[in-house]
Amino acid sequence: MTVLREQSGVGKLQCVGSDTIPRGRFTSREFLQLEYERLWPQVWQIACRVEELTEPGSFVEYSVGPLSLMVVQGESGRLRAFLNTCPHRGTRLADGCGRFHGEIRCRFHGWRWDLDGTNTFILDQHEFPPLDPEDVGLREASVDIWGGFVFVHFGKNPQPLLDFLGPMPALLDPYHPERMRLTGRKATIVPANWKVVVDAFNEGYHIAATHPELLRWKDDTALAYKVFDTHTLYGGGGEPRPSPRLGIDPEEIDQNDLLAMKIHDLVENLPGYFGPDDLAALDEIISTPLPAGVSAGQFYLARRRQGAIDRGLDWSHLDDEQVMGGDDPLLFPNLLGPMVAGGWFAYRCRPNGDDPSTSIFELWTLQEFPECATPPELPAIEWIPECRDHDWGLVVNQDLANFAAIQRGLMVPEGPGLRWNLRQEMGVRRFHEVIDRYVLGEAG
Amino acid sequence: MKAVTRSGYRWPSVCGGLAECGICVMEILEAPPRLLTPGSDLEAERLQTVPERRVHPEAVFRLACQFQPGPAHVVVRKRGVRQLEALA
Repeated sequence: MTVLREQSGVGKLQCVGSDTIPRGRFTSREFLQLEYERLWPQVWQIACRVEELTEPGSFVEYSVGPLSLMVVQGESGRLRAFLNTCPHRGTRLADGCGRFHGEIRCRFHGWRWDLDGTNTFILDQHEFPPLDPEDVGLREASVDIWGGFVFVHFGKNPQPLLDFLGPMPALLDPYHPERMRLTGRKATIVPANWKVVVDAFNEGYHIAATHPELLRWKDDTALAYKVFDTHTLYGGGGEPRPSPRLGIDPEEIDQNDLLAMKIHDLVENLPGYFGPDDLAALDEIISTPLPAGVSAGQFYLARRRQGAIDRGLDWSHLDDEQVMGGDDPLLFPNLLGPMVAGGWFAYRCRPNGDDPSTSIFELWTLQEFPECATPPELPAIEWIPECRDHDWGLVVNQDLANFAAIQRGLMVPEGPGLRWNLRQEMGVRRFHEVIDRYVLGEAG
Repeated sequence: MKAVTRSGYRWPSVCGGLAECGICVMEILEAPPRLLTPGSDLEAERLQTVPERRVHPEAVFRLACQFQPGPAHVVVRKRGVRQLEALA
């Protein structure tokens, strides 16, 4: 640790594990550079969804800072990931997404490759020294799929993806993320370090102050937190009831009002949380008076389960909490958000070039579709030029409104070290411990 | 809200009277007309987010922390108000 600090010349880098941690990890270019050198090349990370690669030749460019891959579907349908750089003189080969028609071609000197990365053409090859086919082929990285997500790793022989994901597939497979499809994609630049954004969504401690309207039906104190070796998850409190912070006797609550507030908030203030197929059913739930003796939670649960059956979805293996409230997983390093029966309201955040104080924030909404259904058209990425000049829905608006203040506060020189709530922010602590494992430790 | 607190009751709130949380919102049952509309843009903006207004659009709501009735006769409804002694 001491050697690393001396070599980097940054005195503020320090491992999590002490009572407080200094702020440099969110503000220093040195730490950002170390992440590019020691974190991002060493971890599995989500590049895209499988439904973005639909035919041979289709590709998605995935970049994080200077690191760049292209995920390409081969002739057989197999996915491969290649470093996004020509082995001749380094030219970038792919931007955004699209389709290579049978082969990959470099715009600079016209070199070409099969979709499996084998070089097929070098202009005036006789004027080169003898070339090893491996040297002029595209440099292959690693790709694997879980839950309908295409994961990439910049290394050629990383640990297996399922090993990296640890217990997360077993916890999240019941939601069938592989049956989900993107229904919305938004992207913007936010004025905060990418880890500020991850931290902000990785705890429920902020609900009372940032999303107080939710306390009427969301018992934030009932959230339970789990930390694993690399990833984290929190959830619970799905049963609609007011937070004890409001001091309301549950006997006083009108269950019809409670249910209406929950559904109104989720539909109107988290647009995309429910899919279009859900909305009509939810309207019907709100407008139906609860039978005597039936609580808001019981009614909601029963109607949601019946709605799933009606739409051809099998939720028989999901417990009541997974239907009513769901889980908030963080797939390290940077995909997280509330997952509930029927969908995932997911956030991905990546560093933005060499600026530690901004990051690329994306909101992906996914909905589960029956296997027999025609999949929806892949939504275009809606690029939001100014993140605060857009209505993301009240809940995300409230989160985004915090980011600039958080980052500017972190940048105050000689500000005190950061400290975390031992229970509600344990996921934040674990996230930074894992960051340290890569950036300051000896992983990889 | 302060008057209620001085009288020995706890009024639900998270932000403590800054019109930031909307938790103190109350339904006005009887009050002079001048008290039926928000007293400031800040209060009006916060009232836009309170779910009670959507659930009961016909009712009149004000934030207790911004409500200054003066010597008027006012009747309001608010769940969760507790005597401070009862909380001890």
